[in-house]
Amino acid sequence: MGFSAEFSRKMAEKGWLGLSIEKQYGGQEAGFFRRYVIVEELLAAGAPVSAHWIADRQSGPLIQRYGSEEQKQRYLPGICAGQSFFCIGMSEPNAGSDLASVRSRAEKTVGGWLLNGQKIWTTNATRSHYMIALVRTSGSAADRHQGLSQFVIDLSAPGVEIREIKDLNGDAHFSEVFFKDVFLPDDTLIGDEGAGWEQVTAELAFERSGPERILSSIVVLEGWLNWLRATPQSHDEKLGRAIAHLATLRELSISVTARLAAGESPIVQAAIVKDLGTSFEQELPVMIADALTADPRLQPPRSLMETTVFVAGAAPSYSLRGGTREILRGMIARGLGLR
Amino acid sequence: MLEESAKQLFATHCKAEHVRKAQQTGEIETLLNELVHAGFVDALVPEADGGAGLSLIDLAPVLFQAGAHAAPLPLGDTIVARTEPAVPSGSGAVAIAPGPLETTAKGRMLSNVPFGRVASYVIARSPADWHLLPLEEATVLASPSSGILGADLLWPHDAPNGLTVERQDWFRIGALMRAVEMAGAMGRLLEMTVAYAMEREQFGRAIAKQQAIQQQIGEMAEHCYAARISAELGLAGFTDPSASAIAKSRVSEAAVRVGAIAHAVHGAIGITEEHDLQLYTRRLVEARIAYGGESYWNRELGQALLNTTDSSMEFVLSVSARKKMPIDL
Repeated sequence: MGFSAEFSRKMAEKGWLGLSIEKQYGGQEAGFFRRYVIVEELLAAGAPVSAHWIADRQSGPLIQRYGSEEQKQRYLPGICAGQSFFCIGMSEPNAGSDLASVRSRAEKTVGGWLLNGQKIWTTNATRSHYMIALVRTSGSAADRHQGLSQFVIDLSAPGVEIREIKDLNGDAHFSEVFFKDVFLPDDTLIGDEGAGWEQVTAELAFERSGPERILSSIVVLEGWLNWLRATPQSHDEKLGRAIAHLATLRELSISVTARLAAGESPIVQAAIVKDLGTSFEQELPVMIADALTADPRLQPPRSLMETTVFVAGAAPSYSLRGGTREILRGMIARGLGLR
Repeated sequence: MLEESAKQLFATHCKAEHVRKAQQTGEIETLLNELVHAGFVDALVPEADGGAGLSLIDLAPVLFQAGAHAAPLPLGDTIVARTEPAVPSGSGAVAIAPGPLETTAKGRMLSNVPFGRVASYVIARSPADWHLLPLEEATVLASPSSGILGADLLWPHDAPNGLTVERQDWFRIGALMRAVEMAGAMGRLLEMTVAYAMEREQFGRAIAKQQAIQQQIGEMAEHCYAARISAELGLAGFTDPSASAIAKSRVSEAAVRVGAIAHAVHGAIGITEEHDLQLYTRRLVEARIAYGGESYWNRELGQALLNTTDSSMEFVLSVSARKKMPIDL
């Protein structure tokens, strides 16, 4: 997913950001499905949507749902204008799948909170204005889901330090973020103190069910399809299977969006979409790489080979980010009453 | 409402004991009569002609319930067949022959017709058009290769041809209905498997508490959910061959994993004749390969896409276009 602040601003000018945000805060009040349709087109076209992505998908809806009136007025217009970019502060060095064990801690002080700790694997941290972070405000890691809260952290505040981490493809899209005595004014606490776990769980349903959980590898499929049309080969069956999966996943994703739009928090269904979706996204480059090299006499387009190899390299991350496969299946099992 | 009344009907008249009896004797009269009385069998027939005037997707809850109770009859196939003028009212169950009518030394024969043992009529290709053939004069030959309720059907050489039917895409309808049936059965298998895992104890506690079991059942639930939604896509896009292809391919693929996990969790007891698990898993094995397995429908789907100039996303959007997006939400 490419990053272009200019593209994001142009999206906003078209009225294509903040579609589920109320008009009085600069949004379109057009609903989740208009957003779904637009996002799907953008992803299928490989548009550079990364800058506004997190703010538009989950930070904006989160602030609209849990934020105070003053907070909505402060943050939402910038999100809708494509000028405020957000990142997600969840994972820490010792809190990955076990998210409830976060140790970053905000201590109460006069007029606000003093934050110390560290986040990691934060996508776009160096290029975002704000982070919505899950931190401990009371108790200890042993208290698990109790005592966690969410704050909007201004990343330009004193005491915030960000270091990029290079990924295996050589890109630096994620970072480590350090907090040393960072002052968080009282009115940057989102929702209720201590309700952070419940809020983050609701937020993750947005993160896990969208079309991006299906379409990460779509550019490889489209490239392969173009080559198959130009150079007929006998891969109809493999192509058809990909389509059967893609069509089914899209229906699943839409059904979860319908529940989100109805104000529900379909946590289990979102986990199902994410696990099935990322499995598909991971299988696609594996299957296509094999098909591209099935006949050594044929030379696939160089750019298609490059994209396929790049996506195959990045694909293992799909079932890590936003909740690992094992965590998701555990959540489904809990939803079924097994634990 | 439709779902509740269907659920009640099947819970009363399609218990495991009824399914077992139908498998032994081919007897389905009570269940079929109840389905007719409830209005399900003529649900697609226009109201002016005495039916309910519904569309196929409206009936999805009824068809899933049929699958969830291993109903021993081709309900969906019969419901569609009833819209054909050639099919007389009160005709009983109508099966679809996957292969053409062949002339053999013994007579005219249809091989491996699913539900051939319980049907009153069969719709078959002979040789170019599709015809409706009554089973009254046919010899019904059950054989292991025909499956639990299937049969080879044999007519004398001089038997009449039967009336021509209007629709010409019965093979695809047979595939779609098996997909819907399987999706219903998978929902039931998930319930049974969850219940069993919570009650069965090993190592001093319910096996449901073992992470290895939780992970498997989590995966099973994913396939069940995917199967159900792709079967719905097939029903919603009833007139679109690609929607049926997606449903049959995706549900069949899911059925393999769902059946395997259901058996893995149940252990040896699930392999017994006495346990109800086999009423569903054996039907999955059969329905998956009836009217074309995954390879066939995937190839059809791949060719359909290659014959357009659509991108894969455009193609998928065109198939789901029949399912209206709830844009008001």
